[in-house]
Amino acid sequence: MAQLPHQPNRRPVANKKINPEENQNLKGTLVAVFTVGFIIIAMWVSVYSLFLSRV
Amino acid sequence: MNSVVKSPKDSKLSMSYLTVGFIAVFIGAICGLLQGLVRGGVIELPSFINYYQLLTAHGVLLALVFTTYFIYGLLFAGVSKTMGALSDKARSIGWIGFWVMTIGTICSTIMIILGEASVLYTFYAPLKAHPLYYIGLALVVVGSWIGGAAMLMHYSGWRKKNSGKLSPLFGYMTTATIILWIVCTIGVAISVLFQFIPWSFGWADRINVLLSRTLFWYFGHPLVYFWLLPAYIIWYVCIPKIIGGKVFSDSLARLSFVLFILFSIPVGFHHQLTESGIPEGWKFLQVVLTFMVITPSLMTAFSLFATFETTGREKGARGLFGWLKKLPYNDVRFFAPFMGMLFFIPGGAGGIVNASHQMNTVIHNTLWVVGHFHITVGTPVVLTFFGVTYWLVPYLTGRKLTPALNRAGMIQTILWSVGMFFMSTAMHILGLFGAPRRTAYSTYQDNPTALEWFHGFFAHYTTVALGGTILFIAAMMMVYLFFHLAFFAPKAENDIEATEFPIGEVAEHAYTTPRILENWKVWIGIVVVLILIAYTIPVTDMITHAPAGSPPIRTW
Amino acid sequence: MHFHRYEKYWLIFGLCTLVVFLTIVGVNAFSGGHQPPTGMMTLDPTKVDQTPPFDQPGLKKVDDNTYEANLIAMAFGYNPSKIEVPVGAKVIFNVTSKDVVHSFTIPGTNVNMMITPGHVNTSEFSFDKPGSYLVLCNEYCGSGHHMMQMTIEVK
Repeated sequence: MAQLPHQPNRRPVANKKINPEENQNLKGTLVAVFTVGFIIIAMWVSVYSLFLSRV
Repeated sequence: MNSVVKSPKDSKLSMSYLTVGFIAVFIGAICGLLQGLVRGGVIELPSFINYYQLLTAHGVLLALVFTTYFIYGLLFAGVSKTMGALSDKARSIGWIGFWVMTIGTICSTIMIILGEASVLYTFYAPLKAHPLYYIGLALVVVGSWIGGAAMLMHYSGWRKKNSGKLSPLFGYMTTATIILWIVCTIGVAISVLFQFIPWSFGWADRINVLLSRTLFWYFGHPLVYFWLLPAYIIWYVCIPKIIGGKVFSDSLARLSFVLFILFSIPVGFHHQLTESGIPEGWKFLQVVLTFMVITPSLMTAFSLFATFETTGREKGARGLFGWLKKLPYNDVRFFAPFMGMLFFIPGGAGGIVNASHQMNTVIHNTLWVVGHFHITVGTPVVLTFFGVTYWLVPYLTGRKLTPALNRAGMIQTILWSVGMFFMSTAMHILGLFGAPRRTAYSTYQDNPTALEWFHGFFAHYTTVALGGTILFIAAMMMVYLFFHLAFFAPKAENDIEATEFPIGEVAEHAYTTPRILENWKVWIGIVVVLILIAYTIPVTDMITHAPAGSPPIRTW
Repeated sequence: MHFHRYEKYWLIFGLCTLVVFLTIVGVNAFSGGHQPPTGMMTLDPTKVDQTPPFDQPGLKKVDDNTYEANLIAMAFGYNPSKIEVPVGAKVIFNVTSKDVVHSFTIPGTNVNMMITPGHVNTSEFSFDKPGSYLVLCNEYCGSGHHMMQMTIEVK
């Protein structure tokens, strides 16, 4: 991808070759997405209970 | 490779789209403030303004005009950046699209101001507005097709010149967004051209109400994805660069956009779940398809967290959540979209509730829905667009986002988030208690049920007004900052100072992208089949078993 | 196309959750009979007053504990504007519109349906608690939309 010659906001990024998967630690991501999942479930279950209570 | 020199002619086109967008924010936000204050019982409107006129203006100017203009300004800038300057022909077509849209917008806005079109942006028949309102909206859609055609031309030109190469992610996603937009706007265009315009002129006596609503919602749900996808482009392509990381996976990003094309359209019935004339089985089928469109958002959530985590870890973060501390929260280009992402968690969860078939009766047309779209389009999308404005405008105008402007942007973002937190939370709770949406101040003759909506803190209309007031301040600040960045921010003297259009690079370990993802014929073919499956039988029924239609009525 | 192992876990979990949601609402709707309101009857919206049962709008007893309420929505009210039902009665609401789109909504209950002209929409509710129930319109219908209401007295 072509870039502007100089970029003031660019931060240095480690340029070492990474092996896919093994060196990619995504444990935090896993916990984070499951947290999102539980928020979805909590919200859905509460409104479904409200629906049932009004039947 | 591609042109690295910014095209000033393309920048002018983008800036024109953005400018109209922010003028719409200015007027639309004033309407929003007044609505909130009226609803909360804080003020009363003078007799020459109708509450529903404000509501129409707020919806049309913010949900239709601001979004579409901003998106086109952004996408034109992005395709020019990633695939080179537009050809003169494509740029001229972009300008024609701009003017057609703008004539349409002015036409509809005048009708709203004159009080000839207080029918809201959903223009449900048989409320009849002035024909010029519908013609104006039709021009907005046609203009967007013309502008979209310019971007598609540019994309196909790039592919011809670079045959065998993978297109830039930004250009690919833009193409997906425009395809989605064209396929879905066909529904509303048919309805406006063949139903509303002849009927509003009196050439047709009656209108098929259910068919008009169905065509509207065939368009109305993918419309929200037309808003969301450009925000996702920013999240996938620009945010990694801003935080100093890489695009997590090019192929999964493309796959998620393909899934949006496939599943965001045959789902309109989930807006009509409590409506007569559509059999339950067809409603449920579209509920299932609606749930399918959640998948690409689940993928996006993973991808974003993964981008944050890998970037944080490369910067030395440790532990399960150490990477969260490595994010540049004091950079408004990141902070504004990031706040938007946080709001999208309850926003998306609420969307699943809304689409859940019979559960829809709990929230349908209550204030919950208003809260819902303010924390989906109104925050994740809008804060992302605001975050983009802070770099896109100085990029286009050759100016600098100074530290002071960055700080102003941070304050603006915080105000928007706080205002939205109060307003949307109150709206969601009031909605669960049954408070209606799209309704002026009313205690229903001091009915005890309605008076409950003025008690407590979060279950209180005044909290809606409070949040709305904070949002108004944030919106005015944003409009000011837009014009400041466009005309008054210091000029960048050289390339080093120039504001960057952040385009993320793909991580080195990422796998190659399958070619099928770029085979649009396949995806358009599949979506057409899905649309035919979801709509053919129920729509045929609506036409063949239609009751006598409705004559035009004006009730305002 | 490559998915990270954790992304597979997440997508499988997410999709299973969605399948569970769909199964719950599907079973509740199609076997439990709790469908969203879906009236299939049609009529000429300009001849509502002449079309039975709306030529005599109001409450009608069907059997011991079941009533039918045939109501007309219009800008900006309902006809009749008040009905009385005994405690514990099950009421089937059949509502149509004489003019524009309205809704028939009883806050605090699952009765919340769109009333489109030309169609009759249907919903039912058992009034187990006495009191006065507010009915309102939550679909914009014109300048008096926020006044549109009726009451159901449950005694």
